[in-house]
Amino acid sequence: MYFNSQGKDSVTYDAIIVGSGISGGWAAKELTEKGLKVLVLERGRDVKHGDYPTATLETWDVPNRGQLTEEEWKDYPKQRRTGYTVTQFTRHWWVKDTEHPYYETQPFDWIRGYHVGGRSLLWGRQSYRLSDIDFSANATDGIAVDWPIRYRDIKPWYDYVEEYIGVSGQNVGHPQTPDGVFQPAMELTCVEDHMRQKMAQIYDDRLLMVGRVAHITKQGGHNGRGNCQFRNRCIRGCPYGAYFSSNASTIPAAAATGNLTLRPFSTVHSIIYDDQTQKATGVQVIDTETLENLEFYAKIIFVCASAIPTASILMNSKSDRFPDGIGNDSGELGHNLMDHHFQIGARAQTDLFDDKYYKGRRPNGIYIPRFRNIDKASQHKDFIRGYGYQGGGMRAGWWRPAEAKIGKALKEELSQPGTWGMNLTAFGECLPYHDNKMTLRYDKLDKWGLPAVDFDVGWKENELNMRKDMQTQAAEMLEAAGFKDVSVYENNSNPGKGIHEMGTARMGRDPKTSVLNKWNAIHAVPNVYVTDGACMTSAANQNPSLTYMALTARAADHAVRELKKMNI
Amino acid sequence: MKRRQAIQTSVFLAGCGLSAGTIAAIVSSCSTAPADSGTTFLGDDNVALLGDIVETIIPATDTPGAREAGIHEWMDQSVRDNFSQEESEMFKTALSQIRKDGFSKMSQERKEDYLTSIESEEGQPNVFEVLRGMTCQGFFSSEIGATQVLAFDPIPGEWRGCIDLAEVGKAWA
Repeated sequence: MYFNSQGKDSVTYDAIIVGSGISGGWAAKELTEKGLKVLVLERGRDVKHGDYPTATLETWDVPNRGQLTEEEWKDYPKQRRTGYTVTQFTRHWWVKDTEHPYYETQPFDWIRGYHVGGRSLLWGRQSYRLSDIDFSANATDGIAVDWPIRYRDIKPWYDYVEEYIGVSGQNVGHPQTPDGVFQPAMELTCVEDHMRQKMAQIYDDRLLMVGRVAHITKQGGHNGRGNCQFRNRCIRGCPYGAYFSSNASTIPAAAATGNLTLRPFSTVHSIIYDDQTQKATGVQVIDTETLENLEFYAKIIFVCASAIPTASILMNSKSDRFPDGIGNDSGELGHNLMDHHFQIGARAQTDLFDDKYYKGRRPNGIYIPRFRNIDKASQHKDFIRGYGYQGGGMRAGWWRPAEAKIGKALKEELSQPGTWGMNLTAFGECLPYHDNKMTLRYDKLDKWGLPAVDFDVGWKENELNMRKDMQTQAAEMLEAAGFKDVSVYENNSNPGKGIHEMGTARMGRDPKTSVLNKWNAIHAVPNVYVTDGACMTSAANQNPSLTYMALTARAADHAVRELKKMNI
Repeated sequence: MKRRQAIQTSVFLAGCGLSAGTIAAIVSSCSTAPADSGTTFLGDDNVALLGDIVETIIPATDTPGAREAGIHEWMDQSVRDNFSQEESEMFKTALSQIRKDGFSKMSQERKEDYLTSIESEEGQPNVFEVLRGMTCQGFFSSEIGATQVLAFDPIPGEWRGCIDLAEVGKAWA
């Protein structure tokens, strides 16, 4: 059935990593640096660091001022839904929906790109640790299953990852948002600092700080990556390597060991399971260009394809032992799908600081950490868990409404900065519901013969109740801080739009109710690790990538120790 | 609805106080763009008229205006690429009326009065608001608008969060 043109030795590695994004890149770096021969399989094309064709172009250098034409949009009806991701500067980073269709029993925005580096090239770079409030949340509330780890288990790995990737931020001694190892923080604007001071006066339980963001602000180390130049064109790829990506950081580090083989255009069909050894022995791969079927073998497999493709691969890995997908003894594979719900909050204006401005384009904003349901005093009667705010205080630019209608007066008005505005957008935790799931449609195969994904995910009562408070508190804080023209907004974001898909192969203590153990390995197949968003037992409200990286480094360390002990 | 939200969040279409509803109305349906023929989409006479219109909305002062920045030509392409057939027909009809009224021969002051007093037709976006929004969008995102009228800094190299406006003097591009 499956033939390789070379002998088995040439397709055998110590470890295979599926995916080259933020988790796969970390797995590659850690495993190669520990001496393993590693094959990284990436379904998309190769992107070398620096291969960012639009990085230095201006608006007038691209067609249509950066917008796609209606004809061009026809390939991106779903990727378009965010309103900000797909432009003439970035369209090469996103999948064409016409080539990669999916189905929506309920609406789901699945926003993604297939290339080496994956969404590590495109991420928002906000980096916050989870705390024990998060790791114990399911146990405290008696829902879903308990995380099998606590903060002390992951803390050294957060330290390790933050130091390596470079996170600009500030330690504030806030228990919900644990301190870390930070590069120098970026400055607040005058208005943001004003809001910070007001909040410190008014609230005992709330604070405002500048965002923690994976950018180098103090040069030195980091594999020669450069300092942030404050262009805020990160999504095009950074020629300085100033923000963390697999391409600028972990993949070059892995390659430098001489132990890395990177194979682009390689989509994984399934994981091969051996009944005799009760372990995985390798993966079946389809070369997306030649459509050849290939097999590769290894002692360890890291599945880091991101939450939805990872679950798809596991679900499609059927055997006599695992008729419903490898590792799916619990029936939880593909379930408990989570994202963060957002696009709700408030904005306001102020007449203060009319003679002040800023220089540069900060690729970052402000952060107000969670303050709800931390303790008895902060319990909310209508929902459990909480939310944090991101946003910022900036002056309006030429795109604002002008008072002058026409002529010289209009030109002069818009050549000056407008009023200072302050915006707070909440990012809320979504609970893990068994009902929120993805399934595979074997009646809808793609051009590689793989089943399409169908999403059936919806916000429920807890999220909807939380949203009311997310909006109200944003407005109240702006009013309390003395801002004027406070207005609220609610854009009813679909699940998926947060681009934080999580939970489809959750970690847990009990093989009957979870897919992965406390080391991110499949309970019943201990040489298969899953360290991307699929592993998340709860979503917390923080941007999750930092946690994926820390869990990946921790799992790689465990895998190599187990290998040395001949346990896997 | 999704499309409308997408457009509302695009800074490129939010120029000069176009209301969200107007923006949505301008580009509310899909169109099939013809292949680029190397000639104008709206016709040379219409593009020349647009040159007079955009220069009225953003005139040359001590810095160049919208005509020198080529905004009329950009607008021609934008109508081609982002308007539905129905919308571009409406746009052409509006331009015909403006030409018939002898716009190009008017004084600058008269041109301003003429454009700002264009009335909305029932159920349709106000033609002046559309022209004004597109002119602002095109101009301030053009090389001339960004580098000569606004403060332009392609590689800032640093971030300072709170400085005197006088240090910059203009809005950032």
